[in-house]
Amino acid sequence: MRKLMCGLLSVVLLLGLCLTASAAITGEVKTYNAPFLITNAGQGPGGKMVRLLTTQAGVVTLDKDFFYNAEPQEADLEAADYSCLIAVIGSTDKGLGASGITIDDEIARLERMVAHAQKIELPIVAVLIEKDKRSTIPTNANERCIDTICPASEWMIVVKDGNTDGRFDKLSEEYGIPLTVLDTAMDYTALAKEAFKLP
Amino acid sequence: MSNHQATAQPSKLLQKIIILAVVAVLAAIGGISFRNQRLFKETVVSSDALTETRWLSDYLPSLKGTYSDTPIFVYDSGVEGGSVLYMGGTHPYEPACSLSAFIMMENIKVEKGRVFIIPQASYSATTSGILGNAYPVSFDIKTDWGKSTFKIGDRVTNPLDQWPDSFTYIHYPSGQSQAYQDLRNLNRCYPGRPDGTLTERVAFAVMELIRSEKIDMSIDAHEASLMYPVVGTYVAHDRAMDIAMMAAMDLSATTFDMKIEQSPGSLKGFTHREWGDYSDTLAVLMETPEPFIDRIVGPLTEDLMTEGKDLFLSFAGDKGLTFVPYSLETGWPMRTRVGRHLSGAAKVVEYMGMFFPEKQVIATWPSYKELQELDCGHFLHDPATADPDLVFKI
Repeated sequence: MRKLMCGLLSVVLLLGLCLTASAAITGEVKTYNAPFLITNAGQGPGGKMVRLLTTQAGVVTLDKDFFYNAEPQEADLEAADYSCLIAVIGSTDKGLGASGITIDDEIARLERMVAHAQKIELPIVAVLIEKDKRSTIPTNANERCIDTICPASEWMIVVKDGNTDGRFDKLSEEYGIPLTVLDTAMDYTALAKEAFKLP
Repeated sequence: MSNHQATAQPSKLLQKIIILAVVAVLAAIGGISFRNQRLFKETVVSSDALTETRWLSDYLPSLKGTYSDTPIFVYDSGVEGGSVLYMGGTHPYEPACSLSAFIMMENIKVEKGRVFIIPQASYSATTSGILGNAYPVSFDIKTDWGKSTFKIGDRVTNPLDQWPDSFTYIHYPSGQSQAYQDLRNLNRCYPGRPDGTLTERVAFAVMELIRSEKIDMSIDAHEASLMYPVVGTYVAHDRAMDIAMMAAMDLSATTFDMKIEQSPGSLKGFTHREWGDYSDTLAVLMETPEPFIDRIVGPLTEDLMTEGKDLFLSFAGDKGLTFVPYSLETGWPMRTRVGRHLSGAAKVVEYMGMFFPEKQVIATWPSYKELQELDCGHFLHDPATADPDLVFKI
């Protein structure tokens, strides 16, 4: 355990050095107190990537200050006094079918999740961190997740290469939602340092 | 019997003899081609970091003397640290994987820990091509001293070594029903069993290697068609996800786009699932783009294999139907595909050392950037001038 902690610490330090030198974040940065909840929209690996990058920011601690739930039900959104729900958009290329669900099932779940979050006034932060989770086809699973999550969000965070067609700029303009653009996924760690605070 | 009938019979007999003779000649020509592919050996000049050569049959003796026994090259620094397995040739019709293993072997230096390399994991599958797919048996790589020739094999175990296929394939031990031909597909047969089919025995022997040598990280190299979603991707077992996610984000930010997917628990028989479930290793599979195996491409030529340029695929790329960018101008050349595997492997090994310092392995081999600059052949050494103890025909 001690060795694991040393390892994680060295990763954090190394990333910290790298990020100090090269972090590139454009746009408003909103702030939230712990605790908050991270989840997926599309069952891709993005939620776990954001969980890892948030841990590496070193400001908040997993399972104490923030939590990860791949498929939260309505009651899970009220399990703690969450300051926000971070919904990481991206469908899995490998496993939706393997999970025994369809994208229609997933969209229906997301709609229920969004509706309940709105009902309990839990702010949603929409995140797209994998640049390949985009498509020119409107019925694509990723595009449907964007359509479901983003209009209901109060902040959107997206990697630059995931917004080359300006889709998130248009959503930002249409719904009046602040948009923050990251140069790369690795920049999320620097963003998390600014955005998330201990109460 | 009329005179006409009497003269017609010898004529028909002659026709039959001629047809049989033509068929025999064609069969002989085909047979020679099959035999040549069956017996062809690839040549590799190992770096002097090599400390030991083993065989897969060392881990399951019943493989000895079969076409599925395959060499394992061990590079032990002598300095305590972790251990890594790099495996190419699970599917020999994805030859950038074996070639990346050969280039790794020819240039590797190990400062800490041990590296095991299996360049031709499914050896039997290297001894034939996909039946019914007309493609070259090999391709050449230009080197600084001439050329080196490498095989384009099959996806599955040669039917000469494992046949007939049953009507259904029930994966052991899950009991999951899979496509019948996957009974000869190494990457559907893990964790294998010691008394199973030849392919299951290969899988079991690889598992035994991982377990008995306490391999900390195991990497299985693959190529994928561009119209398959899981291309240009790491697929990682649950316990290797953090490492692979960091490696993917790091590579995507600095070197080349790399995606990440978690191994689905319900897909049985795969390295990224069973290696992790049936041992303590951190299992990672890598897929690099190989236009040659896309269904829509034109003629399957040696140039298509080495340069990856195809007009039909470019139409699909233009329509956004490929899961990695595709242009006729750049294609997906061998140097890019091999380079992705070499740097992809290096990056997960690097992050393993950060997450788990006690498992750190310090080893170097050519990088993606070096491959882009100098091409594959630059990193292959001349067997004629090399130390004979380091030259292997396998």
